[in-house]
Amino acid sequence: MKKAAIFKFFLCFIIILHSSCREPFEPDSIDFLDALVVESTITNELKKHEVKLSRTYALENFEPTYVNNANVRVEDSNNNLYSFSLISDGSYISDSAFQAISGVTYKLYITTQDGKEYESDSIELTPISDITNLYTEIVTKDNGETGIQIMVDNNNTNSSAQYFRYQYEETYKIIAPNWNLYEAVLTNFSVASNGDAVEFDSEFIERTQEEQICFITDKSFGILQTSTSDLNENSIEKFPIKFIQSSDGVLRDRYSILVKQFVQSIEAYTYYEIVNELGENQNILSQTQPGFVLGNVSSLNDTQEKVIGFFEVSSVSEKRVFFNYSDFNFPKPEFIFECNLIELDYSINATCGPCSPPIRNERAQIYRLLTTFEDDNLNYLITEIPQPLEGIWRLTNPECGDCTTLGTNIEPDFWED
Amino acid sequence: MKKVLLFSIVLFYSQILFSQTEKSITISFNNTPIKEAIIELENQTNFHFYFQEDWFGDLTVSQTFSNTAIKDVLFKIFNQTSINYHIIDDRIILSNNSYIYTSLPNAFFNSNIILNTDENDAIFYNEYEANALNGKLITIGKQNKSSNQKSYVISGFVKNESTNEPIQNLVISTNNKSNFTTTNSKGYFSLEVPAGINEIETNLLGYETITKNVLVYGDGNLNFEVLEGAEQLDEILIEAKKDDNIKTAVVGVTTIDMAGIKNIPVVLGERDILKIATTMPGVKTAGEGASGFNVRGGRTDQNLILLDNAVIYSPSHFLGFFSALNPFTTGSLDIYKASIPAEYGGRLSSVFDIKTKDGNLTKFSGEGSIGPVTANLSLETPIVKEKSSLILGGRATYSGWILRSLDDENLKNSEASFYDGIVKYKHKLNINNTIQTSIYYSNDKFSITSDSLYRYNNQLASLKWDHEFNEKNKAEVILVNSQYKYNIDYEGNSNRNFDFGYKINETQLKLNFDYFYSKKHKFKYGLSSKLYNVNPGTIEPSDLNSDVEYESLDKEKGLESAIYIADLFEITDRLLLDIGLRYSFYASLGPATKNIYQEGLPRNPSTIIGQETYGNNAVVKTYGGPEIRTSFRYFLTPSFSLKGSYNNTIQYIHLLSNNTTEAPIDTWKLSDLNTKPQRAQQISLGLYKNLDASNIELSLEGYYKKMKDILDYKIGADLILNENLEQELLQGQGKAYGIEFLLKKKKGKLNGWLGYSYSRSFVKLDSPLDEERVNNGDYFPANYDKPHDFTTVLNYKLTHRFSFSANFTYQTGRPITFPIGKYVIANEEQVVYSDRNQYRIPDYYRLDLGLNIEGNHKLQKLAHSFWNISVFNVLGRNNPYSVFFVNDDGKIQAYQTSIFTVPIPTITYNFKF
Repeated sequence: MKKAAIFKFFLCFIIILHSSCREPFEPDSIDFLDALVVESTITNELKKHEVKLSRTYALENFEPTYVNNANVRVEDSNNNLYSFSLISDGSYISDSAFQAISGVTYKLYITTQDGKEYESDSIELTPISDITNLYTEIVTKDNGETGIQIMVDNNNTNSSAQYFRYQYEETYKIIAPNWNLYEAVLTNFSVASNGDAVEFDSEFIERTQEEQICFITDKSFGILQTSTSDLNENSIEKFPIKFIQSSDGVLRDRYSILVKQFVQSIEAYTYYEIVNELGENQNILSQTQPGFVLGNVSSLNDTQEKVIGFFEVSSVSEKRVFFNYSDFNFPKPEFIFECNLIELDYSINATCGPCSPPIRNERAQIYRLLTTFEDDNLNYLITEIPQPLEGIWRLTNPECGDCTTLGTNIEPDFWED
Repeated sequence: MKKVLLFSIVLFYSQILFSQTEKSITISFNNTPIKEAIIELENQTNFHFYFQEDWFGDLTVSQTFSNTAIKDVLFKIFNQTSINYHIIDDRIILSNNSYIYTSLPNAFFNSNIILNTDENDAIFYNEYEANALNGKLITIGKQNKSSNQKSYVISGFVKNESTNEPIQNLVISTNNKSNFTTTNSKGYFSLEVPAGINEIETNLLGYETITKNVLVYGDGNLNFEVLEGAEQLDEILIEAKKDDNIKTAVVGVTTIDMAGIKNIPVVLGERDILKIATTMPGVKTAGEGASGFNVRGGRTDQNLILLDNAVIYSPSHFLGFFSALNPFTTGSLDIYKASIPAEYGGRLSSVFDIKTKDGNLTKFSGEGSIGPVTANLSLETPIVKEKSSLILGGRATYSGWILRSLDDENLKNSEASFYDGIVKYKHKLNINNTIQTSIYYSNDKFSITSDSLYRYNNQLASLKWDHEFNEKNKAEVILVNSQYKYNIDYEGNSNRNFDFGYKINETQLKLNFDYFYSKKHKFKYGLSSKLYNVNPGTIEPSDLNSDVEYESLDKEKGLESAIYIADLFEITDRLLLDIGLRYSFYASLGPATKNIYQEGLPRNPSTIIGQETYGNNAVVKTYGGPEIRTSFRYFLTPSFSLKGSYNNTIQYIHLLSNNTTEAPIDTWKLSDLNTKPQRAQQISLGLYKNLDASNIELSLEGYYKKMKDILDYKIGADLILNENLEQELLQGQGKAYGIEFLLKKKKGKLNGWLGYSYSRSFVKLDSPLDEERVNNGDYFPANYDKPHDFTTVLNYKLTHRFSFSANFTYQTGRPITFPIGKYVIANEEQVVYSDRNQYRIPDYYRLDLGLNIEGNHKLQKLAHSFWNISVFNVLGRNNPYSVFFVNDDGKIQAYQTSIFTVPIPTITYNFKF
């Protein structure tokens, strides 16, 4: 008993050292801070800019509440006013395209539906700096994984830009591996009076839209930052943006990544850095001091009111790169979705030799798989026209037979094959 | 009995007999023993002497008399002795000490008249006969007919009966507790006592209490030989030097003696003096497994922890689970929480003064213990008998073995071990000179993940020379060096292996002088100077394949010096003042390169307006200031005193710790151009009452403390290998106040103590700059603010062999910053945190029980031994240690950690030979 307890102590002690002796718990519902969350970056691109408004939500909830019906506008120091309109939940787009110009300050004004007014500090466009190079390298990680590291170089010798935040958009082509030109249309479904036999008519027609080749676009999430402030030279070299494992299905057909670099002010950089750090995994020896992170938007009605978020005016630069797995001599990766091939027997009297009772045919299942989820575009698909009809039907899951279940069949404008 | 009878007779006759015999005598003595001289006088004259032989001892007389009256002969003979004489006709009655009064005090037969005590207040031996005096009565001084003194001074010497070592800090007091003193470093004392019968008692934790009944007629000498209490099976629990609590002018002092804490339940078999310290009101830790103490609302870096005068930077092992002090070699611990003596400086909140025991001067002896985690052995031996001694202590874990024997793969490869060792040598060169030296080393090794190995160690060396110029002047020369360093060895499989190291080293020279100017004024003065060398961090690749680049932050250097003077000024018997003034001065030294920032802007890379480079030993920046250390004691009654103090302190070194708790990988930073020293002031007032012959001590203390420029950090600060650290630091204000109550019972079958404190500690980080303002610039509770703190430690002695002990602690949970909502930014979920420290973790409570079993009581045996069986956290309370929130795959999950979630039983075997 005693020995066991001591071991238990050691276990706990060591486990604590290993930072995994923490046990998850649900904190008692404590006060909830209901605060406005503002996220907006105006850039030097000429486009319709976006302001996102939401509110904080309770710890036990999963979805933010969006702030709709607010009056959102940006005013610059030349008295130009840009008004924004709600286009979807919490997302406001400027009515006209505009771009931030150096030497002009911008200020965000928000009036919520309940009449509360908020404004940001006056923000100036950050220095301009271009991504010098976006490129890839084959890298083997500590854990033995090999893959492609996407990196940026950025020479700022002629710029005062020092703080950078990156976002990226991955777009990749997918080719449905079990696609075939035809789809089955089943009609006149009936069940025979003895309840056993299922009957339906079948017709095989060419698909009406492109369902073999599609494109998927994923946006980055999270905060990715770097700075040159502690480097001798004001340039960034080999800053890792994303690592893709060699077996990752996104590489199977063709892959492209667009990296956007936002030059940040020290304030914006610090804000995002702290937010990011507070959300990171920590062990017992290095708990950072948490606290409320003050942004640059404040309430005009109540100076004590807490407002979350940062209004940024950033210069932006972007670059895109395309590549295939074969460029790196990797073996062809598996499809991004696991493919299911099912063989079902359509014959009237499925036989199994001398078995008794006789196995029923699988028409009911064929019918179910091919039709039930028609509305959601999640039906199984045939992989070939069954020959003969009264034989084996080969079906596949929709993700592998119809690429529109995963992506869009419209080739993006920028796409280069 | 015979003596008493004799006096009764004498007294009876004394009222009727008084005549002079004018017979002249001619006689000559040359080194004649008094007894023989008396016999010769008897032979020459008709006088008969009445006396007791043993009064004379070795007294001799060398005198020549010619035609001298007997009165004058007797005067000459007995003048220098304690013997009185009375001539009644042809009889000469000698008395030791007692003067034979020939008349009774006026009021003797008239009870209506109040005794005028200003008159010659005679002391009659039989006055006390009725008192059931236990033990022999010792008479001191000679009764003098004309003496009208109400009190006399007894001085003497106290030594250890077995080692003959002088015992210092022993309290000598009179029975009514109105007078007390302590022995000095040579064991000497002098005590003012009222004339008449007195019960003089010695008291020092770890030693047997001796009571002597003395009849005081005049100034005289009284020596004590005291037995070490550890030999006795009597338990002395914990104790401030007896009556020091009410007597000294020091406010907020706690003394813990190692010998007194052997019964207290322990975790994993370690007796830990620093853990005991935290059961005292006013001393707190952030939680189990947190090293560092928060004393009266101060940060953990504000304590000057001294081991034999050298600073010990990390006094704990295993991240705070065990103290790094060997319990067997540790003698005592004094904690100054309020009035810090002027001799100490450099930290704001407290001084922990830990002293190693002196080795045994007469014989080889040792002590040891074997527990589930550690084994410990200490040895003492004389080198030159009666002159010099050596004490050695060593302690190590066998946790490495335990871990390896576990089945879990992960744990098998873990490392968690420590050891420490200490050697102290003390040599009494002669009566005026003593030197002593201590060397201490401790080492910890543990792995947090399988690829990183953490190591930290303390290294101390101290040398002290005590010199006595004369009875009034003494000096101490102290030279110490301390070093603390830690290392992180990272060895993954990749090309990122590194070795990270941090080191701080300090060397101090200190001169202390004592000048006993008079009974009213006792001066202490001195000076000290300390040189710091800090290597704030070096990272280097640990193998050839590593891509980590060598980087080393600039070294820091600083010189901290001080002069001080203090006067212990006894204005009246009741009012004692301790007036101290210290002036400290700090210079940050080059070589250094410092950033200069634009005034009034947040410190960040964009506000650097220049850099200044300083050459080697060039002064970068100086700070300094006077530090007042003053306190008073006023006796309301002989056993009830009021004390107060005002203190201010300056601290030039800061601990950088991102954690709420102190961790061994925190780094110390010196004040420099961009980091100001911390400053504090504290006022404190207390009431102290002793009851039941000082067996029960009660105290109530209150304090208010203000601090400025205490270090804090911006949210999410990065402290390691940051060459622009000042950009992460904030310096704010702090305030703390509290009230502390302590009830202590020192003797009896049931003994122990009970402490309660209500204390608050707040921090304010205000700035015109948003970025440097926390919680709107208002005061908020500090990380270690635990308002209610109740602790009790109790011992119950069942028989001489069995005793039970228990301790119970309750504390308010410490403040924490909680998430109070979630939001999405950059497509990722994040939490929004409350204002800093707005919430608290659940309250902390814990009960420990212990049973002590003494070995048999045979006198002749190899070793004295006892078993200690303890159960730590009997209630199995799952006290959360920390609570934190992590973004797991875009979702927030709350985690809590606790350290002891189950009762931990321990059995330890202790022996002593």
